[in-house]
Amino acid sequence: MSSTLCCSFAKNVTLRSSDGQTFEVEEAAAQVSQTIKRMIEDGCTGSVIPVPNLTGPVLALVIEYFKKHSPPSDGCPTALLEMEIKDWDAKFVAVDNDTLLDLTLAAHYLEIQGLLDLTCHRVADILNDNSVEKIREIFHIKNDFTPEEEAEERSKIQWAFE
Amino acid sequence: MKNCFAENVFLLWVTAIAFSPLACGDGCSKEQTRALLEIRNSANGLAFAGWDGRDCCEAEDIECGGTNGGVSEIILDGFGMAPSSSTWYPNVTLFTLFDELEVLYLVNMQIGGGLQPFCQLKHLVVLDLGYNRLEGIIPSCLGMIENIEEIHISNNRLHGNLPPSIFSKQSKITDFDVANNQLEGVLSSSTFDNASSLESLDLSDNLFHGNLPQSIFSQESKIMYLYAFSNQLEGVLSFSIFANASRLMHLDLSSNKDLEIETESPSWVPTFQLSYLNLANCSLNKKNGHVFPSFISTQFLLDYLDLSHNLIDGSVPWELLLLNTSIQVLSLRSNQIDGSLSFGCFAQTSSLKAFDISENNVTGSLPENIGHLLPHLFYVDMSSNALEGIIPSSFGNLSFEILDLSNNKLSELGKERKKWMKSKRVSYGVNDIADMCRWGELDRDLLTLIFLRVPEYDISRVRLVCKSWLAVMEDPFFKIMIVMDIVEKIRGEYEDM
Repeated sequence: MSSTLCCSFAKNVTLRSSDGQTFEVEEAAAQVSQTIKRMIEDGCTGSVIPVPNLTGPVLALVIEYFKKHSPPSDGCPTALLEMEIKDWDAKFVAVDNDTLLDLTLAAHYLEIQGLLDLTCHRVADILNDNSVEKIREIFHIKNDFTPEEEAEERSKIQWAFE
Repeated sequence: MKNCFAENVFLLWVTAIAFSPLACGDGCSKEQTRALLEIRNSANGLAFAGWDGRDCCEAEDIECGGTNGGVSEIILDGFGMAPSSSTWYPNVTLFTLFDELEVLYLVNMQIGGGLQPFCQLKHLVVLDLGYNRLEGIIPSCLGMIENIEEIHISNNRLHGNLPPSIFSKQSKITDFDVANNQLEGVLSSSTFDNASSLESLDLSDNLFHGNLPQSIFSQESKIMYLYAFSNQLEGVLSFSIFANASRLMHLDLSSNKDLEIETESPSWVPTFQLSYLNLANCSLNKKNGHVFPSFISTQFLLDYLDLSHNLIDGSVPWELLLLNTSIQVLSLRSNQIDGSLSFGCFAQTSSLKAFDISENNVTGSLPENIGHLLPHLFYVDMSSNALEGIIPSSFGNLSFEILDLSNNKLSELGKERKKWMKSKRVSYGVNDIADMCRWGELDRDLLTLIFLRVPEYDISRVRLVCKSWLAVMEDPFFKIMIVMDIVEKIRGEYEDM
């Protein structure tokens, strides 16, 4: 009879993506985002919280992250060990570059420090492991230097290519 | 009891109680335990995974609060679990063994199949099957469940029309949520004739046609929340139909681009006080010169207003809007609003926090006192207007998360820029950052965060990727950050020792 229905009484908030999809998520979990936390503290929870910079699929991913990283509340401990979360994190950002960009922007906009660290590290790793040409290719960046400009910049930092 | 157990089953249950009272909790029969095990085993690890298989009432996701101590609530929520590609087809008949079950909440559980079997659960008060993979039509028998009050079947793959008899004569349904499916057909007024208990209706993100049925908003209406955004509603909708819906608080009809919403005629007096109104991307006041809706300044509880992507023409009664309401979020993006932002000289301050008036024809300079009148602003997008002059110094005291004044005729921001360095995302002007990169969407702060994580040796190489990246690394701010970062790292290592 003494069931421990830990989370059923937790307050939920509704987040709405730019394309109008709504997601219900526990208030405590959503507060992983400082931006949302501030909005909740400001009493914006009565209505749907708009997240105009994120599309539905990205917001869904972010909510997955929230769930994994929501602080353990009384009677509702997250049994996951830190290592497990780390593992999960690594898999979470092992995504294609467009999704990685979306997640980076989302983490920045929503002020999710952990996710921002994670995505920035991942991007930095890619920058670290690849040549300039390859970086441009991976991130679809147009080389907007003229050949002369590039040669000049290159000569300034010749040591980095040796 | 007789609903669920054949007599011999009942006997078995009595025997079980008599001979092994400890094996079964007060509220859970052997049959029910077995049923629950069967449910668990079929659910691909999504349901009751932590339950030891003994007393149902001990399972984490179950509440035993029935009059006879039986299972009254089953609450399973798959959010946060690793997404599973396999679909769960639960044997719904097993749930009928729980004859005191009033709340069934199976959200995001990858459930496939149809809704029909759920009609067997005769004692349900709340049914939530949101975020699953349910297919087929909505069977009218769901509305026949005697005491059903809440039906949530949003975010599935349901299609077809709303059954005309979903709200029966004795309907007690207060919450009806079918958002984000592929439902279609014309919304017929007769469907909602008996929906007098309805408090919350969510039809959004479907393919519904026709106009909004007037019968929802009768004098007796209890409707508080109505969401019908992202459908294909059409025709002329006069706001006078809402006049008597005195409890209405949230209304969202956005993204129904063929729905002509008329707020000015015929004349009407609102009995409601809205807190949330979204009419973005509709066709607003087409017959009345696309004017800004005049009733809005009577809505003193209004805290969210989105009228973006309409053709609102002319000026906006800024003073009434900002002071008579409780407005916190205001979006008028992409309209034809002109005139200047003249806020007058009022002593009060406004509660406005987020303000988007980008892509309009707003002229003149920013009011000198803007920062004093709107002290809570943290999101401002005034880009792509015809604003001119200098940025008032009162603006500089606000701490913005996002400030975009680009694509105007404003003069140099000068010393104000420094104050905003702490803002998260500030676009100073159209020429500030070359957007040559696909990743040029990333602003300087974000690029800085990324570059700081690249080892110093490699960062020199990354300079050559494109001009905007080079610009970030040449920025004194970035160089300061690198120094600070190094200091912090050293300090961190010191503290670790």
